[in-house]
Amino acid sequence: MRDGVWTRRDLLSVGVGAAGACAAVTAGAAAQNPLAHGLATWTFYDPRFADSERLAAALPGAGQLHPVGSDPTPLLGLVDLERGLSAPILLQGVTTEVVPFCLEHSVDRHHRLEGCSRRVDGDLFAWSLIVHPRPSAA
Amino acid sequence: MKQILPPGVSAEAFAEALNAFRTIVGSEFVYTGESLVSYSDPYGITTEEGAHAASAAIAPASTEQVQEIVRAANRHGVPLWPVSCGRNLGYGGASPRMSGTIVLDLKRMNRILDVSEEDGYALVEPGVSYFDLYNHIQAKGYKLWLDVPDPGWGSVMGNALDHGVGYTPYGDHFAMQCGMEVVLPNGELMRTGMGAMPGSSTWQLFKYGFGPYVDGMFSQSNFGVVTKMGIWLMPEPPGYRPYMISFQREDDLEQVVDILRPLKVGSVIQNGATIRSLLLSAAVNSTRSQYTSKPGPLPDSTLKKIMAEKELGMWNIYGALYGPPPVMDALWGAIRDAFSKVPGAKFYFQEDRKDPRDLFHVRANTMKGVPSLSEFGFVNWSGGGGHIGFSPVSAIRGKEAMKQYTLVRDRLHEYGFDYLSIFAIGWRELHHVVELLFDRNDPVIKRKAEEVFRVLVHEAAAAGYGEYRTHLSFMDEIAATYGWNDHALLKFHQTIKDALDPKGILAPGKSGIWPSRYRRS
Repeated sequence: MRDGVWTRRDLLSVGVGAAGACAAVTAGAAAQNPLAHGLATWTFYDPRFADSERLAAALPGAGQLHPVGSDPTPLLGLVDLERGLSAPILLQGVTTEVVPFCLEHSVDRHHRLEGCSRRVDGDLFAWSLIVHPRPSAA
Repeated sequence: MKQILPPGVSAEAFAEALNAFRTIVGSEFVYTGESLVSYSDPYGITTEEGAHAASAAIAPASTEQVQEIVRAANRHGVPLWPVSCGRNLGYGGASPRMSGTIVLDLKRMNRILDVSEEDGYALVEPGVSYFDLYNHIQAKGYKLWLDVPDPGWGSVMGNALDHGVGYTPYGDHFAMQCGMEVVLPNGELMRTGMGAMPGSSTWQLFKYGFGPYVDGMFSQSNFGVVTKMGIWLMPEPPGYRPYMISFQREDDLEQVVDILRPLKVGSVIQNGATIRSLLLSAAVNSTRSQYTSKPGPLPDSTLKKIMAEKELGMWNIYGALYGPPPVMDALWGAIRDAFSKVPGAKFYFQEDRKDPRDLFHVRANTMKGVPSLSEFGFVNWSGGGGHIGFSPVSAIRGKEAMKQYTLVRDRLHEYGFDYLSIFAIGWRELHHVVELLFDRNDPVIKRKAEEVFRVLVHEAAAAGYGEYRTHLSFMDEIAATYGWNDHALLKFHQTIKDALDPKGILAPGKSGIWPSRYRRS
């Protein structure tokens, strides 16, 4: 996943543990872009991993948590990201990398993205993605 | 982001070209700078600095705009790289072969122009994804099935043109293509097959038209920009019954493939059935770390644990029956009898697999043409989410399958990678699609992955096994392995390229075909 708000070097230099990584990642995204405050937010976790739900719940503005396991297909129906976006939204979570990857690549040529990601362990990443609608591509 | 330029094009000429493109499509659809991150290859494996970097991207909305862009590219001498949905991930995605090329992003050309339930076809533009076409068919209530690859967010046209495959009886996507409209490198518009006859009603019904059959010239090539393509769709069958057969020993592969051949050639196995390795089957909903934290090949004890836990074999066939129930019963009888000869073979229908997350349920949907992203789960197997496909082709022979399997497995293990693969059965051939998984955040692992990939290409070619499709970074090498009679085929391609595209503006380097201005000896 690309770094939009923070560079990868910034993330690695933070050097915090898993919970800190999540807070740092999302705080960074939120702090850099005032539009992130008050955005419609979707927070994801992977029920296969014990730490995932706990860490995702600790993300700023987490609210309702959405489970997503190995199969990212349901993500496409959650929000019509590819074309039907009228206002910026915040997507975040503590999951395997395929989740932010699929979210990012389902929209990256249709909308503008700001994102950051930090590896938590061998399987999990803490990440956030702000999706800004571009003019309609139709 | 540093501005790169097409080779041999000055900054001034490039700027003039972009201004010409802005006049054609509007400034908001000419992308430069940070926007080009969208056109980088997420699974880039090469360690070469700046490889496959776009200099700009343009998104036209119509065939007429594509024609104008191509003419402008000729006038200004700038190269274009057409992409449809840009999701040929694992093979380069939306990135160009040659750094500095301008991506011609056809995503806005996403109309489903026609669907005929009666004749079983669709006519689509490049930006139509499998999800788009599936949703359209469902919304209209047509009794038609798609054939979908893994995953389903790619372009119907793009996948067929890259010789992609799926898993229903219509699994050879390019064989199901019928009729094209193409913008030639000089901007001229051409229709192939019966489309070349004004007023014809058979453009999507009869592939060949009259004279040389040229549609294949526009697959995996840089001879034109396809702007419309017909694809045949399967009528919804009166019955559908997916099945799974697991085989317990590694060595069973040879017997399984030899049993499979006459069943496939004789159409008893009707669809693009697959033989899937244990780890590729397990990886869709598990990760390596759930079984071990140790590097190196998984020991037999761990493989047996995975087999027991997931109720999988070392090899697993996923196939399906289509037709009226008596037909399906007869076919199943023949299939079951044949594979029962393999000691320990186990047979399943969907109701036998109780876990709702079982891979069989994913394959059951795929084999009836329901698109998904489910198979992305396997890229998490070793963490870091990168993958590239190594895809040699062989005859459907047990000895050859074993030879390929042991060659690839041993090399991957030597370099520290797990072996995950699928043997996809075509009309007369076996596609051995090996998923080389790597951590895309780790440059050391990426370097090893690149190295072992090149070794495999050369070892497979030495044994007579060529790739059917490959990543941008390896196109020249793969093209070179098709070198019979002093590379007669490549020279033929180059002759056509020089004739059609003398200024070399269309997709330089695609499939190893370089226009003369960029050609190395």
